Amino acid sequence: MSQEEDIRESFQVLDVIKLKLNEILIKGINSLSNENNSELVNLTQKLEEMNFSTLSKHLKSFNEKLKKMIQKPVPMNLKKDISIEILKIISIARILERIMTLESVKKILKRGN
Amino acid sequence: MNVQLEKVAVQIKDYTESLAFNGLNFVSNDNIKKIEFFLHNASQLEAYRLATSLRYLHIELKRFLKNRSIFNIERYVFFLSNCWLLSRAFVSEKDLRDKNPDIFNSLMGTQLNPKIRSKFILKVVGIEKIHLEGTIVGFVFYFLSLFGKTRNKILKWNLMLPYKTGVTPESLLHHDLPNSDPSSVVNTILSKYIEADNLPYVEKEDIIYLEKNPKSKIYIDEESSEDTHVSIKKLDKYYLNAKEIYQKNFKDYEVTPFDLPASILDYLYVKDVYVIDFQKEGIEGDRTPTFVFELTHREDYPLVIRIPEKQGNLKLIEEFKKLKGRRTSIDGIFCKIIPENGQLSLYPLSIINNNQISYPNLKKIARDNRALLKSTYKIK
Repeated sequence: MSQEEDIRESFQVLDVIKLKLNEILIKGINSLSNENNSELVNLTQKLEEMNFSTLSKHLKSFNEKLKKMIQKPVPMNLKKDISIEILKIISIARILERIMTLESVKKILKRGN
Repeated sequence: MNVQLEKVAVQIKDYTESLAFNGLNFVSNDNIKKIEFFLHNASQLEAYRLATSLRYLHIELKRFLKNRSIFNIERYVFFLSNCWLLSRAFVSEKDLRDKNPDIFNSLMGTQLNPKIRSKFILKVVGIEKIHLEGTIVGFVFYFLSLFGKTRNKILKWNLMLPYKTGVTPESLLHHDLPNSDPSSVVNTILSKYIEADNLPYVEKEDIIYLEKNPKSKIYIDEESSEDTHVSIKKLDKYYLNAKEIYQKNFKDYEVTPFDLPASILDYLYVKDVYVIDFQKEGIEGDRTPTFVFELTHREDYPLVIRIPEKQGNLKLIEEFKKLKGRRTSIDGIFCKIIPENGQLSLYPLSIINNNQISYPNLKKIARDNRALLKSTYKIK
């Protein structure tokens, strides 16, 4: 795979994560279906392959906490932990996207020097 | 103050976390009143960055309740996340202030504190239209400064009004130009040079205010013709090769968690431009779709123009679609640099052809009879 394709794929993966989390932020965590969740679980593997280890770690932790939600009513501290993971993942994805863009542009500009 | 900021930060942190868990279906008018309370407290405690993020979060939540079609999920998530990050930092305010005072001050932000400056000579070289339905309409005017300490800098003037049904940004061009002598309408500054005295100016942000100081004087240079070659020549300062862009904007740039996904870095004047092709990225509903225009230009680094499909950009998109396949090159495009999606992306502010500047985002302005009568009979 060329470097350009690698970069494009990384942006696509980050995009999928952001879209899934945006959906959760609108509909609430209870709206998360098994199907949606399995998509997020699959992405942790992908993120590891791409060396996005911090993001992968938090996504894994988010998925593990979701599994504990079977308990009803959901304990307050679990709700809080899940929210924190969501907000962390959003911030990390945002920083990664920004870094990737700036590094790609730097490469483009160096080629043009 | 220490205890209070920590206390407010804990409340905001809990509030944003509960929003993240429950989603927006539980949001009500009573519920978002809490943000007004937080906003008031954050402003009093001079936590300006937090106050700004809370203000925008409040706007988006109100838009969600009022009219979901104008609610913008990306803006909502950005400001929700900013509020959470800032409040999280301030929860252990004392530690942060003692151990990292620079970071603490930067997270607190500063109030824009304009200073009065005596003489400016200015020419508009770019316009950005703002049309946030349900919130504000207006323009950001980009002036090239031609005199004094700010010479060759781009200075911004924001002219905004709260949104009202039927009010378009273009209608603001018929409003009186504040402090102008002779009395003129805003539209005049699009073609004439202006000289200004006693203008409030924020150096850090390069913002000027034509309207805030009653002692300001704006003189329209009636003699200045529409031939703007002087100011166009000066735009050459913004004509950069790949190495210059890298040195000026990217070499020492540090990413922060508060960066917008598409933050402006600088301005660029691109010459001999052809619009080769365009495509639409993104699906309606998921995110704001964006038109991406591929360009060739005099230098050899790749450039694209990215224009989000928002109400304020529709005319701009139409104009750039028309430029595709044009046989002769466009002399120049003056743009903001907004790196995004791994590309060196631009947002166009004006087009230059035959020594004339045009603003592709402006709809044709119908004759304004009120302004005509005023100028004929010199009624103030």
